[in-house]
Amino acid sequence: MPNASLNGEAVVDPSLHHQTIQSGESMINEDRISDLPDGLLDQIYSDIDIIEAIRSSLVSKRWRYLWKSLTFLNADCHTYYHHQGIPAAEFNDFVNKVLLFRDSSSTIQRYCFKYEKKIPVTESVKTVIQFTVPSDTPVLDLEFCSNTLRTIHLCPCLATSKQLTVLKLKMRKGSHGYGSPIAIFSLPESLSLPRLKTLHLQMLRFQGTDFVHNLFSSCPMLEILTIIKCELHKTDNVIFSAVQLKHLEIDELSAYCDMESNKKCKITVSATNLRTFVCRADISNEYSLQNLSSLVKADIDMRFPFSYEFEELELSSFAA
Amino acid sequence: MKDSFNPSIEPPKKTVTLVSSDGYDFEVEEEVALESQVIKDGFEDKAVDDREYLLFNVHSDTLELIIKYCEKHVSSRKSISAAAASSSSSNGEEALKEWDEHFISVDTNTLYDILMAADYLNIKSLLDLAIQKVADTIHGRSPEQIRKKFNIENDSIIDPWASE
Repeated sequence: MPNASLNGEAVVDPSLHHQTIQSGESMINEDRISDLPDGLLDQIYSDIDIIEAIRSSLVSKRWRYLWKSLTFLNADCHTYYHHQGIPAAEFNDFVNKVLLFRDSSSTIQRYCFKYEKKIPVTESVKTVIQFTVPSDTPVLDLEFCSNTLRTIHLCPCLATSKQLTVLKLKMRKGSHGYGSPIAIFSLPESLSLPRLKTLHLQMLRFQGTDFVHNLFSSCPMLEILTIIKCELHKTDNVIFSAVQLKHLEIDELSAYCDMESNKKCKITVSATNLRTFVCRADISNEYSLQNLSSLVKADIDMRFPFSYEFEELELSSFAA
Repeated sequence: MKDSFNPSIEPPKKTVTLVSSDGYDFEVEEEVALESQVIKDGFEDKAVDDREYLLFNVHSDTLELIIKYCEKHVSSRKSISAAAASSSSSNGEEALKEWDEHFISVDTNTLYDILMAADYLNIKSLLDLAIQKVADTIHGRSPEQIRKKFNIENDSIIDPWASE
């Protein structure tokens, strides 16, 4: 029933860019998806690969330049390979062109990049591949696949990004891989990520005594830290100590003082605001938990490493 | 002690009236209406007897679906948290996901209406659901298939896929 006694304040303000939705009597063969505002189409494409977005530019004029202004960019070399039948080696070149020709006035909100390049294993060959990464993007999710050990360097503009809030850096083994780190991640001296809140590192090797300390001091807002299948080298005492840290996940972290003698190091977690702590590790590293007064959830899984002989096992409780 | 708490007596449910673009009144429970962020914003500032919203952009057919969705989500949330409180196992979330999947399996016109209404009323979970549905429809399809699926007229110049 139509309502006559409407109060002006009771009306939900229609946004200007919306057209009136008329349902029910609408014709069955009507194209309505093309009427969607750009913002919604952008969200629809938020998980679709850029290659598919470019391909769909052939749908109609409305869709033609849509890919240029998408703010969620997903580039996976497997999608590229699958659609184009061109070796994945050209993928990097393709992505560079996308970044070059897209509409630079719409800032990329999230950039996901997956890359796999198969290079014949020749020990003396040192290959440097440069990946262009949009530097003013708040969310970066980068995944590389490799069978040989590489070194990852962050370029200065990325290492000092004032926009970056989420950084995921994942290495993945190729088909012949096994579970050890495949890239050395070296922190640039100039590292300064004032807004970084979430950091995810996977299958990486870090070196030096101060790595973790430098990480926290360069990222003062870091709240969520996830470290999966990583190795810490040349350190005998790692301290995860940060007031701002709220979530810490350590999965199969191997920390060595000296790789040759297999001397392991001590890992200390001390964070007064830590709410969740997830740790899956083998007991060859000594863990020490301190000052966890805000802890709500702890998920700790300690295992015996393969062929490990232990002399003494002491279980001591900690107050959370 | 005995009569200090009687669960059978509940205060009468507060309701809100939603008016569709074609002039139909829908009386819904307050908490159902509050699923919409647009209604939630500034809700407390309005007088209790003045809780009536004219939804210019939502047709009664669509509004009925939207209300059905919100009611289901409000009641599911309650039973899920009740099950969690009594630590009894429940597959509430799983069941709700299945219900959502079924709910959003509609023709493209209805999907468009739900999408626009969820955006207009700012119901995040429903908007995400509708967006994912459209994305799934586009994903893996050729331009020609996308055109067919959404009844889009081909007004581009050359289409190398069209002759396939």
